[in-house]
Amino acid sequence: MNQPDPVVVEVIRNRLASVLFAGSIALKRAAYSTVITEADDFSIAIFDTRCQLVAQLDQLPIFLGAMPEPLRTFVDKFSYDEMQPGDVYISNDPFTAGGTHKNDINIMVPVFVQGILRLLVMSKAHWSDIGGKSPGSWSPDATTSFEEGLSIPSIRLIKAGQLNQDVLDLVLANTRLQTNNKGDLLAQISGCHVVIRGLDELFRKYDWELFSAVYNTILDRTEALVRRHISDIPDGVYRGFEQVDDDGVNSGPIPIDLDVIIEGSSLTVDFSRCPPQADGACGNSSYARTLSMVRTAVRSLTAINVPSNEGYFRPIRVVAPPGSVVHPVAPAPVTLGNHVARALREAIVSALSQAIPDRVVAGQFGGALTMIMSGADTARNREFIYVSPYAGGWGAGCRHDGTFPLMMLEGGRMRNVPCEVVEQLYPLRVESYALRPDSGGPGEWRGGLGIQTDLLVLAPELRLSVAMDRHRFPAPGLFGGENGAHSRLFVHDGNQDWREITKVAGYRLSRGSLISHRSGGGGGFGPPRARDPARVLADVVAGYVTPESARDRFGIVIVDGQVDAENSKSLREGQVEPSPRRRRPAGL
Amino acid sequence: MARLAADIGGTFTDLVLCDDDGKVTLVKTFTTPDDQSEGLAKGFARFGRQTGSIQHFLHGTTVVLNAILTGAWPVVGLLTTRGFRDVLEIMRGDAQEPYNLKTPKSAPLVPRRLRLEVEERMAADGAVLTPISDEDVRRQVEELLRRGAEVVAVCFFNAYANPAHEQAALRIIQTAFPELPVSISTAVALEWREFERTSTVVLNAGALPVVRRYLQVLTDRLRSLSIDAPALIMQSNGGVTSVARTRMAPIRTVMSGPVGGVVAARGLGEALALRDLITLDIGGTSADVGLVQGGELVTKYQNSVRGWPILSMSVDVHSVGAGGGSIAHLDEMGAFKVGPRSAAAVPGPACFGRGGELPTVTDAHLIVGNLDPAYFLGGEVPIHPDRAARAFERHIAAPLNLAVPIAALGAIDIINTVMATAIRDHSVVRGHDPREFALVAFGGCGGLHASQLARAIGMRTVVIPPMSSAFSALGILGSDLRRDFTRTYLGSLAGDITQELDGAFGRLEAEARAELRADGVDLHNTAMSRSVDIRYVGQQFTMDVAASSPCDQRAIATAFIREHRALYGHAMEGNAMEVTGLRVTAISAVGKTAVAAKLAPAGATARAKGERRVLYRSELTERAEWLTYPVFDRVTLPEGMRLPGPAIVEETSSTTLVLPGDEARVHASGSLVMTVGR
Repeated sequence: MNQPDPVVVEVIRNRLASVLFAGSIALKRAAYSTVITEADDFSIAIFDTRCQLVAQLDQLPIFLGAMPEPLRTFVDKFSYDEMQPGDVYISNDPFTAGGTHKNDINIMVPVFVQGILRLLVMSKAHWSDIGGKSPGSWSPDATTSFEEGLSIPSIRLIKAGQLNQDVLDLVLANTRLQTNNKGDLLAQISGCHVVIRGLDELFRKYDWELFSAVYNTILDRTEALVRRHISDIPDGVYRGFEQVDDDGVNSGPIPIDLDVIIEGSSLTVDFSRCPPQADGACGNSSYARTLSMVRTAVRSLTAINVPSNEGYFRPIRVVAPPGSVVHPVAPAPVTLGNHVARALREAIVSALSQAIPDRVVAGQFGGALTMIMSGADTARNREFIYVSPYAGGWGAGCRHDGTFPLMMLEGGRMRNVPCEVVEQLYPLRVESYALRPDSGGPGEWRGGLGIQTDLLVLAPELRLSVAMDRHRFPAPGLFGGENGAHSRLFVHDGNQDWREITKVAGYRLSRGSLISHRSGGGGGFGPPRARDPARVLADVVAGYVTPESARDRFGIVIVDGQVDAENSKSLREGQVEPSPRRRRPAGL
Repeated sequence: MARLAADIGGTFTDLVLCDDDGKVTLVKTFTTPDDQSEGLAKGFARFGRQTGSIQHFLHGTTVVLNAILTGAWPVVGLLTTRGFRDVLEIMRGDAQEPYNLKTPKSAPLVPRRLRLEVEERMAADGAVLTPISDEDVRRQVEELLRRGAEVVAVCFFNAYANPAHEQAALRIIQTAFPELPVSISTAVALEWREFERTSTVVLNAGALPVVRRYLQVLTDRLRSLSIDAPALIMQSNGGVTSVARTRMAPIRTVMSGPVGGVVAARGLGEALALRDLITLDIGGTSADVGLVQGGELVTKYQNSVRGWPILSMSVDVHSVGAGGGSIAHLDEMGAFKVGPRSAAAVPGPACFGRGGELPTVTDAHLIVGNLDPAYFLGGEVPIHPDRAARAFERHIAAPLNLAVPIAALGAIDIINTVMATAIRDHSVVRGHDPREFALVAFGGCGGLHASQLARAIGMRTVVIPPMSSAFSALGILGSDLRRDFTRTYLGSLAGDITQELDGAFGRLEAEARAELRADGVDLHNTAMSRSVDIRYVGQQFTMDVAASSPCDQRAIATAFIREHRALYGHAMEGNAMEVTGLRVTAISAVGKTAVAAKLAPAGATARAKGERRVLYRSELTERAEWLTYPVFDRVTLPEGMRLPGPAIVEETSSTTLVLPGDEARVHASGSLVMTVGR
């Protein structure tokens, strides 16, 4: 077919975005799980029957590659001939169904255009609980997938409008929050239906042939754009390295050692040197999650505003040996895959720092996105589960101080829960919620700062689940920049002294205990002694950096709110290293 | 009994005078940015009439919004509870651009060295955990002043549960520093969520000196014009309030510009017996979408400026970067895009010949014949169609291998999809199907896009109001006094809480009455209404459901379940519900104005003043063809006249397209009411 009219392409592109948006609003507003409604932990996507991603709601990095995998398993298991209008399919299994982790439920609905199956709509959302050994199905100490909750292979839940009630009952009976889960399920289905209604309207105006030509044009153009950006990176094999503190069960670090191979307009990430899958849940990333993170890393370094569709994935290849920490096989635990996901994304960034130093940033703070506190609230006479997302410092880059405080990049548009809401709804008192001075990695460009949150327990007993990371290996600096501060978590139970904990499930604390959570800072970029003295002064005035640190780490002496030029000069003399020069002068 | 309304915007100052007989006159003049009251005086002089009889003066102003946008702003110092001075800087932790490793983040409204803490603490239930000390407050404010603060904002943790410490701080500061402008958070927003409340009070404090200075100048100016009526100031909530109240909470006026048009549309809807309206105000750089549902303004409890939240009731207006100045271009994938960048007034569209070289939507309208080059702004502005064509040729038509008129028509189609998306998205977010609404389009470009937009969305009725380029001023003229009062209140509907609810509402209403009385509002003419924020236990979003007085708990629950089903397609019957907030709205009529325009007498016949070749793309065939449109002068159209499309209706500052298949009817109000063809 000829190139479609450029105006029609733009009109249809806008309509598709609008249709996905309407679906997302329907899903989000009806959902029960806080992570869906507050943290946007969901996505909706449209596929064609060749399993190509036509368009996806663009918000959560962790789902960027996580939609096509489960879609393929549905299509592999059920032939298109079997699918009928009114069908709804469901899955979550990370191994047989291409899932991310078990809390992420996939819902798929086929779309018929004039009686012919043409498209597939899929929604994915994080349910607050899917069973398993710990509340929230969130177990940093799990050693098998079975401890992480119910497995749902790719199955049909509704056949031609007829709900399989037995299956639904079985699913819900295996979870702790049945009402919530039912609400989330209905929300996901209604999100898909709203998308289908929007598509129906679209097809009243445009026939399938035209629509198909239009989206294929969009896919091809997207591919061309990403290829153009990759071509700008010099060919070569770039080695990247990052690590996770531990897997939650064993004490050893999990090294992520990879190669990024640039060949013309193609990019390959080769994980062949990564270790075999880990025993503990914090040491594995399901394959779907690994794909998401590779795509996120590439996007963050190339065309940030590229639309999420198949065209953008085409130039990217991933080599991830089955049985490794980036492609574990059953029954590996994978729920806390955020750690490996973060590390592999950053390993790709660090690999490419050799090729495109202007584009990259130093390390980001780490962890598992949230702390979870639960227990009995005697004052309000109810059980509670409080999921607390936390922000920290991002890495510095060329001519850019690290942004702070922000949620982890992997978490997309997550937001904190306001402290006043915490105190009103949960038996906790917030003693302090403040930036951590000196937590940003020193550098010519300073890393972002972390936050310290101090909580007092008001419930008779509280259970704390958390999976800290970067308590051992802080966010690394780049090109002579120094590391950011470690992430730390201290608890103080009336009877003992302060005690540091790292990865725990259901750690018991009694009334009057204190919890002090300190998110880490981002790494610095370039040698700290090359930092503009005026910027060091501004940081000291703001209290981001203490005067001691200004002197000892940045080589700047501050007296009476002014830079002491003479003393600073002698401090810095002979110690200033050249700032990293771009290795590629042109084309960036 | 004359009433005068003044809408002072960024470019134009619109004055509308309604005399004793209900006759409405409009004057449009350029805004004088240094002293906005000067433009007002100039415009007022043009009425050239006796001015002693003006009974009400209603005013919409953008001084607060402009001050925030331009940063012409005093140095604000912030006082917080110990442990919380960084709340303003931490914000909510979400990244503006999640895939950008160097994602930008706004610099905090108050830099860290100007944020100081005092020892004091309230518990979530309002109990005092740590008392406040006079000495501590004084010392910290002195320190803020030493560091350069010119105004002070106070936001204490949990103050929404008990504002006593903030009120104490206010007294201490006012006693020790009588000249210093101070604002406490609970006087502006008595609601939970510390970041949003801090942002609100900081913006309010910063606006204090700006607004006080302006209101003084305005009051002096009104006196010199012998306008004795006290000024009533338009607020974001779609109603007016006193000068005294505006001096205390200026942040509530921040959206007063765009809401005027929505208020006017609601009034017009009454005259037209249309209760569900989507309003669309298309100007040079942006299009503002608003909603009227069941004859009521659709409001929201929070808005934001430059990403900074403001907790105040506000007419829900959604702005999108699409207007007459939007620039057509090819993006990095080679896709044909229009906007959001705008050529604005300077350098302006290419056809203005003022240095603009890039093709805009206005240039496109000129090329396809929608606009008459000889009659732009009534012929006052010289127009260069050749420059418009050159711009399209060079930037769009040549690279895409299209004819210039086809490229121009494409640009209009694309900007229409941007606006249609905004309308759809905005109504969907509120749970509405836009096809059940009538489209009221105004602003300089409203009439050019309305019919096509309605077709794209599937809307059947379009209204182009009279004086559509000054429609906001008409809305301000017809505004009521309005105050909204909000409290955070948590109560489960599992038990019977009717009495508790009534008690809490009663206290809120008593506060409301006291405040209105202090403003000199006649309480006999004031209607109070109640609503609650309600949700299922476990949900995060709440819905706003009307409540009666006295409360009927079952009716509230039933209404919620009905709304939930309407919005989401299902309800969770048997699940526990909880109330999270109470709202009381007080509305007091200032006096009604029926919108009326000068019309030719009914039965008269209107003759076309000419005709024009217009490029038209049929929705059905998608084919573009040149058609001949008759051109009418709007002031010659008699009441009741039916005008079949295609036709063009021109007035001095706006043009309306009646497309083939449409039929326009001239309503007594002066509106063109179009039934949209298919």
